[in-house]
Amino acid sequence: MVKSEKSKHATVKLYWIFAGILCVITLVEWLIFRNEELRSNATFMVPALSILSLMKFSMVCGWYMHLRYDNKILMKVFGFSAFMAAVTFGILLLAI
Amino acid sequence: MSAHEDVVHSTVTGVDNRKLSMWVLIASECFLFGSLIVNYLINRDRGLAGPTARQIYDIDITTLSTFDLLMSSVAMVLALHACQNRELQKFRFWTGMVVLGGVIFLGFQFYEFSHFVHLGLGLTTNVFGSSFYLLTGCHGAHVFLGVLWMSSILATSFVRGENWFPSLPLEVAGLYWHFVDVVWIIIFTVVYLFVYI
Repeated sequence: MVKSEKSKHATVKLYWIFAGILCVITLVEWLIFRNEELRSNATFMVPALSILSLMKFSMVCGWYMHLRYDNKILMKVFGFSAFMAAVTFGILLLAI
Repeated sequence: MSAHEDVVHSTVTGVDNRKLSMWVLIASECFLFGSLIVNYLINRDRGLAGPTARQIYDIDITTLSTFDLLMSSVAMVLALHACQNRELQKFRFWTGMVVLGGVIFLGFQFYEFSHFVHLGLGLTTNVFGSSFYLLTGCHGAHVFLGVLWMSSILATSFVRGENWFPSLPLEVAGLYWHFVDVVWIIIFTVVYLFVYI
């Protein structure tokens, strides 16, 4: 028997800091979209919003889902499948 | 919760089997939602009848529902933190907030679907409508399941009394809830914010 890993998780203060960052990123995404010149500019929108989305994705997975602190096998299970799904469907999108 | 429930059983991987099972489920769901998102992207502009995505999306409402789901994720980690520290009132309060966040999100989705149907976009109007409702409806069904799961934990807390602190079950439920949030982060960007691209 092994002890649960609660002591390795982030603090309440850190959870609130990330909540604030997640809200600010969502607000920035909304503000970018509200700009009528920018929202139809694929050259700007796709990389900018993809990076912002990826930041939110990483924060939720890393800290809220505890991947940063948990056993590395969990990161491998999730990382491999997320990567394979992205590659598979990316190729499919490009092919069609 | 009795003392022996605070520990997890030793496994070959070093991870509790229930937690590992949830991660395997999440891994498989990556492909489910990946296929639904690609299906939507392929069919978005192929509708021959009915309104288009650009005509009906209300990004302001969707941004609010995104905030709501993100905040429910915060409530989820705070509920788990309180549970692990055996703080009963906080555990119940934040678990209730997760349920409330989920219900509000479903309310937003119900409003959105009703509004779209009112504007003439039904499930069978065109391929855009079918792929949109399939993707967001599947996500909504996941949120609904999460609400039921968290409600059952909250209800059990009142039934089992003040010594029940289900850290591991709550952590596993939390993984599911956060994954539903992560999927929405992607849907919000790819489906809604990229609508003019």
